[in-house]
Amino acid sequence: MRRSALRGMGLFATAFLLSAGVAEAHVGTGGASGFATGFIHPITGLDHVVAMIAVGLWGAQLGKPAIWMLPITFPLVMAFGGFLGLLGVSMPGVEIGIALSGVLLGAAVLTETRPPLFAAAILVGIFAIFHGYAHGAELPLGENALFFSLGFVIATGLLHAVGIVIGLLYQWPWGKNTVRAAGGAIGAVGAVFLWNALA
Amino acid sequence: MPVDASAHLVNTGLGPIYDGIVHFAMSPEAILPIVALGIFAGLRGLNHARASVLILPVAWVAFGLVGMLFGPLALNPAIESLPLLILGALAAADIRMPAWGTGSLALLLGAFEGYNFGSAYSAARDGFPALTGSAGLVFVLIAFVSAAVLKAKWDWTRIAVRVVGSWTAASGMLLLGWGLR
Repeated sequence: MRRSALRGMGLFATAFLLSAGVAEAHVGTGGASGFATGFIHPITGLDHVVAMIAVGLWGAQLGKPAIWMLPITFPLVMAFGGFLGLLGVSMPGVEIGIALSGVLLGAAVLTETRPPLFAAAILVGIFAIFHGYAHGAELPLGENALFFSLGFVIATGLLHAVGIVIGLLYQWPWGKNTVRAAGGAIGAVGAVFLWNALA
Repeated sequence: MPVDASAHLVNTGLGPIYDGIVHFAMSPEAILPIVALGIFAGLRGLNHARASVLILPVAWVAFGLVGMLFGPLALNPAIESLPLLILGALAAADIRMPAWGTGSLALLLGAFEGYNFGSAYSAARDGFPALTGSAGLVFVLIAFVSAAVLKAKWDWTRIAVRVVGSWTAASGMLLLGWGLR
């Protein structure tokens, strides 16, 4: 069993190494436009923007270690979702999942929900896959792949940072209400998207 | 009468050493894994940083010469995403490993990227100076990044560089998907 699995992996690796790639004449062109397109891509979707900010808000509300674990792990899980989207793996209910992320993450911030860290990480991770998948399936052809990916990941990371910076207000009594209100607003935006997704 | 081939990917007009330096400086797919390795080695400590700084440029030149000899390989471009993915993930996770493990990673990265750069100069008559030029900048980059991370004293600076590693790995993951699409 183990030997056949190893042999299968070996065959896959060999096929991967020897498969001919597409011709890439003029390597390195289109970097600036690719980065700009990738950077703008996640910012132009309000459902994505509010969910990313909610992740930062919730991380800041939960405190250490969530505040630094989320921005490290989220891009990786989201990129895995993007990887699945790029490969064309079927995933039903993506729009509903994205809208639900806004509703549930916003509600978590509003109600100051404090689940165990692993539960929060799993919830956020599941939503990250939905968000990554949607963007991966929509990535345009013809852009510089590396620069587009960098722009996309950095923009998403900066959206988390916006949420974390707003979430830092949580340490003051008046700031707690501000952060919770922001969570409520995000939940409301998510509810609108969920309504549209189900309609 | 045919003339000698003098192919150059980048022509600065300042000679092959500077051409090699600028070629590397214009290659983010080679710069990012080195930054990730520097972050990882710096996070792990002095011995790891020393191993990386010593081994990476030497492997770069050695395998660059092999690449100049044998020329480009017909590999899937998606393979270029693997150094970003693996080294970025290691830096993000700040995984514990012995210094020889980090040295081995530096050797593998230097072999892979050095071969790529060397093979790009296989048609050039003066490829060796260009290769040494690129290796010089590789040395400066790995030394600078690993030293900067080694000297990071505050928690938030270590977290910030791990975030950079995470972003590098995420970009590598997307690049891999893009290449396999």
